[in-house]
Amino acid sequence: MGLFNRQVKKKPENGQSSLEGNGHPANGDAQTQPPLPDDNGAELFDVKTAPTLSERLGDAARTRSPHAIKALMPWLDKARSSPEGRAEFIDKTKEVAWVQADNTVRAISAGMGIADTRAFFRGDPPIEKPNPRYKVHVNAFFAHLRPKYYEKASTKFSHTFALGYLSLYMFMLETITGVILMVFYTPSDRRAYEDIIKIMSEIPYGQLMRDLHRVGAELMVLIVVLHMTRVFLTGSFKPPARGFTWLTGVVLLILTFALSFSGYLLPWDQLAYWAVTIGTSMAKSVPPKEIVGYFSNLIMRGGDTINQNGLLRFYLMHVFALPAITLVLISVHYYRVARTHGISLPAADEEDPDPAVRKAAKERIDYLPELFTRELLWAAITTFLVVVYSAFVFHAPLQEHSNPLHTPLHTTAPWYFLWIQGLLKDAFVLPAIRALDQLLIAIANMFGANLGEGATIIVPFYDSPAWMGVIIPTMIIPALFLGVPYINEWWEKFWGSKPSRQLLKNRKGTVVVAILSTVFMLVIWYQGTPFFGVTAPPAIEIGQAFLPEEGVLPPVPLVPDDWGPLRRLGYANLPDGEYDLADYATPKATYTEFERILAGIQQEIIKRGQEWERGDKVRGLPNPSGTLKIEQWQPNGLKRIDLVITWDKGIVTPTDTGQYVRTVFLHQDARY
Amino acid sequence: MSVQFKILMGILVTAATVVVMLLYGINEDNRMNQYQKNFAGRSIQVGAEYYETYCMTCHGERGEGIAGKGPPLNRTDLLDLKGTPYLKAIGWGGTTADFLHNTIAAGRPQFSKFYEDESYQAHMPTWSEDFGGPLRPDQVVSLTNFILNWAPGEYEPVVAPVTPTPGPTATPIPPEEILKAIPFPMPPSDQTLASGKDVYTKYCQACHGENRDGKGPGAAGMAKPPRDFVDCAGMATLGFVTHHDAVANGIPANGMPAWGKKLSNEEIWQVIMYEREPCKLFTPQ
Repeated sequence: MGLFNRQVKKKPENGQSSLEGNGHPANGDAQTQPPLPDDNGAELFDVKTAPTLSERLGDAARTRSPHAIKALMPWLDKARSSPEGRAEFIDKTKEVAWVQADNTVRAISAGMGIADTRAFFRGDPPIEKPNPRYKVHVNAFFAHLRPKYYEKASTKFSHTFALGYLSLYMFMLETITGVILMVFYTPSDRRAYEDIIKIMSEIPYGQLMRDLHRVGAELMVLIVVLHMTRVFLTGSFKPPARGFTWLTGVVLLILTFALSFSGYLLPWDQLAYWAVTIGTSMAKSVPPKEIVGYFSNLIMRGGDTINQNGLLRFYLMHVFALPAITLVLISVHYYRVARTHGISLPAADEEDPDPAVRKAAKERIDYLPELFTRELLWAAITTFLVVVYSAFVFHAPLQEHSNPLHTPLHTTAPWYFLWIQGLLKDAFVLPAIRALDQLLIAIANMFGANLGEGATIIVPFYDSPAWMGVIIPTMIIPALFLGVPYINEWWEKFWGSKPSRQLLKNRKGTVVVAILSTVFMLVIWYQGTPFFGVTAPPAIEIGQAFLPEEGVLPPVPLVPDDWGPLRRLGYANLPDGEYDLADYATPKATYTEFERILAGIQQEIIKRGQEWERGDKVRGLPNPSGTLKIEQWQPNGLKRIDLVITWDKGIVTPTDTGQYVRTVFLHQDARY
Repeated sequence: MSVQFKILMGILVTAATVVVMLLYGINEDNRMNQYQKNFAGRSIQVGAEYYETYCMTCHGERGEGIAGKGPPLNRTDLLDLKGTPYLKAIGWGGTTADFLHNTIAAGRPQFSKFYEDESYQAHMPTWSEDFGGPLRPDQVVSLTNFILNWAPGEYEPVVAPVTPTPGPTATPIPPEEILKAIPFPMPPSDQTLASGKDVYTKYCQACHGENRDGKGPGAAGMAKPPRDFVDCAGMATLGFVTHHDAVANGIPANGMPAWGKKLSNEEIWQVIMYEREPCKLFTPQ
C-alpha cells in the first residue's frame, strides 16, 4: 500500500491515545493529546533561574509553535539522546504530518479524509464507515442542497435530457455574465446605448460577455420550455407528490419569460425599444380598459410610452426583483426534486411487470462522485459550446439608438412572444364574427331592417385586442397550473383508469393534446412573424427585402442578424453609378455578386408586376420598374444608396405618386 | 462512464474553453478598434439621415451652404482638424467637434462676426432638447460626426454670398394641367382646410405668420416681406397657377424656399387652399 492508502491506526503512546486519525469530523477534529511539553520540561525549568537565549527559544517553541510541532516536542529530546529515539522521532513526524494533512483535507472536503478523497476521484467505493461521502451533505452548504443519491433509471440521459440541470446552469451563466455587464451599464435613456457601445468597443471581453448573456438568455427560454414539455410527456407532473413541483415550475417558466423580456429593453436601441413597446402594448387592453388597462400600462412603462421611467423599471425588475424571486422558486423547485420525491423514473421501467426490472430501476446512484462529476462535465461541455458559439458564430445585435418617433417596418415582439402577436392579428375569430355579422344583417334585411353597407350588429361588442392579447394568453396560465396536474388526476378518476405515465400505451389523450397544442402554438407563432398578414405596400416590401430598416430581427432565436444583401456586400464592393434594373432582367453566369443582387431586385420587381396582372391588387404593382443609384456622398467613405421603384401612377389609388425611394447611407467602417 | 473519464474529459473541455478564450483575447485589441470605427461609421450614417431631415434646407444638400439661409459646413478652414483657422479667428479654445456640437445643440443667438458681410434671414435655432429644440442628445452627436466626416472637404465651399442660380427647370407645365392636379373637389371642405392648416403651421407659419398676415418672426429683416394672405387686394392678383408655382418651386430672389420636394402634391394644394381661405379666392383664374 502506498502513502495515500495509509490508514491511521490507533497507537497508544505513553499511555495516551495520542493520534486519532479516524475521528468523526462532524464532532470536531479529534484532539491529539501528546505528552504535554510542560510535564517533560518541568524539572529543567526548576533548575535554571535565568534562561539562556536558546532556552528562551526552546520555551517559545514549546508554548507558541503550532499544534503539530508541539505534538512532536517530547520526541525531540529522545531523538537527541539515542539512535532508537531518532527512528522513533522520524516515525512520529510522519504520523503527525499525516494526521495534519488528513485533517486539512477533511476540513476542505467537508468530511472525507485523504484516502477517501482519493477513492472518490478514482471511482472506488468509500473506505471508512459510515460512508464519509454522506458527511459532505451534512457539513458542506452547497452539497447540503444536493440529494445524496438518485434512483438509477431516473438519471438516464434519454429520460431527462438534463434539461432541468441545464436551466439552472443557464441561470448561473446569466447571473455571472449579467453582474459583469452591470458594472459597465447605466439605466438611463441618455447613457444606456452609449454604455452598450462602450462594452462592445472599449471593454476587453465585453462583447463576449454580452454575447454569452444573450445566447444564455435565448437558450434559457428554450431549455425551460423543452423541460416543461419533457415533464409533460413523461407524465412526471402527476400528483400527489409532484403536483406542487409542477406548479412552481409553471411560475418559473413565467419568470423566465419575464427575465428575458425585461432584459430585452436594456440596450435601448431601436430593436429593444420597439420589441418591448409591442410586448407591453397588450397591457393597455386589459379589461376594463379605462381603469385596469390604463393603469397597468402606466405602471409597466412608467408613462404613456416607454421612456426613462420605463427603462429604470425594467432594469430594476431585470437585475433585482425577478432574479430574487426566481432564486427562491428555483430553491423550492429543486428542493422538492432533490429531497422530497426525486426525479421520476421512466414510466416503462416503473410500471414494468417484471419486479427485477423495477428493482434495478430503483438502484441507488450516489450523488458523490457519480452524479457530481457528471454535472461538472455537463457544465464544462455547455460552457465550451456556448463560448465557441458566442465567440465565433452569434453576436448580440445592436442597432441604431431608439427613436420613439419612428416605428421600424415589420418590427416584432421577441420570438417567444410572437405567438401573442400572432393572436393579436386575429386570423380566426374576427373573420368568423364578421361573417356572422353579415349573415345577421342579411337576415335583418329580409325582415325589412334596411341595413346598408358598413352596418354592424355584433362586431362592436367583440374587443379583439382584449381577447387575443390578454384574456386568451392569460387563460393558458391556469390551464397549465391546474389543468395539467389536477384535471388530469380528476379525469383519470372519472374514467376509473389506472394512473399510468406510459405515454403511447396508456395516455393516448395526452398525445393528442400535445400534438394539437404544439401545432396550434406553431401556427399562431407563424402568424406573429412579418410573413403573415403583411400590410405594407409592395414597393416598400421590396425596399425592406434588400435594404431593411434597422429595428428588425429574424423571428427565430440565435440566428445572426440580417441586414439585407446590399449592406452585407459592403461599402467596398458597391460601385458608384446609376443602374437601370431592367438591364439585369435575365441573370447571366458572368455576373459579379453585385450584379446578381441587382438581378435579384429586378426579379422581385418583375414578380410584383406579374402579380398585378394576375389581379392581386395588394401585393402587385402596375408596370413597375426600378433604378439603383449609388453615389459617393462624402469623400471620407460615405455612400448613399437610393433604390427608386416607379410604377404607373394614379392607378393603385387616385393620389398614388407611382414612386417609392428607399435611401440608405453606408459608411466604409460600418460592419454588418 | 467512469469517474476518472468524466474528470479527464471535464478538464480537457475546460482547458479547451480557456484556449478559446485566450485565442479570442489575442484579437481583442484589434476587434475593439474595429468596433470603435464601426460605431463611428454607423453614427455618421445616422447623422446623414438626420441632416437630410433637419439641416439640408438651409445648409445645402452636401453642406455647400445656401446663400442667405445657411453658411457652408464642408469648409476646409472649419474642418481642417489640424489648423482650424476659422476657430482661431473667432477665438474658440475647444475642439472642432465641441464647437460643432455646441452650435447644433444650443444654436446661435446672434450672427457670427465672421459672416457679418453676409445677411442671413434667420438665426441658427437650438436643436438639442436640452435647450428646447427637437433633437435628442444622441442625434446631435450623430450630426456632429456626420459633419466632421466632411474634413478635408471635396466640394467647393461657398463662402461669399452669391445669387443662387435657378436650377434647370423642367418644361413648364401648362396652367390647365396644374389646375387638373388639384386632388380634391372645389371649393375645399373644412377637412381639407384643417389639413392645410397643419402643413401651414409646420412649414409656413415661421415667416408668413400665425394670422397669415406675413408678419411671422422669420420675416424680420427680409428685403421683401413675405406674402400677406389677409390682404385681399394683393391676393386678388395671385392666381392659382402663380400661387402653386411659388409654393412648389419657391421664389429664390425673395428668399421663399421651394417645397415641391418636401411636400406631396396633396399637401401643397391643401396649404394653398388654407392660404386663400381668408379672402375666399377659390375660383381658379
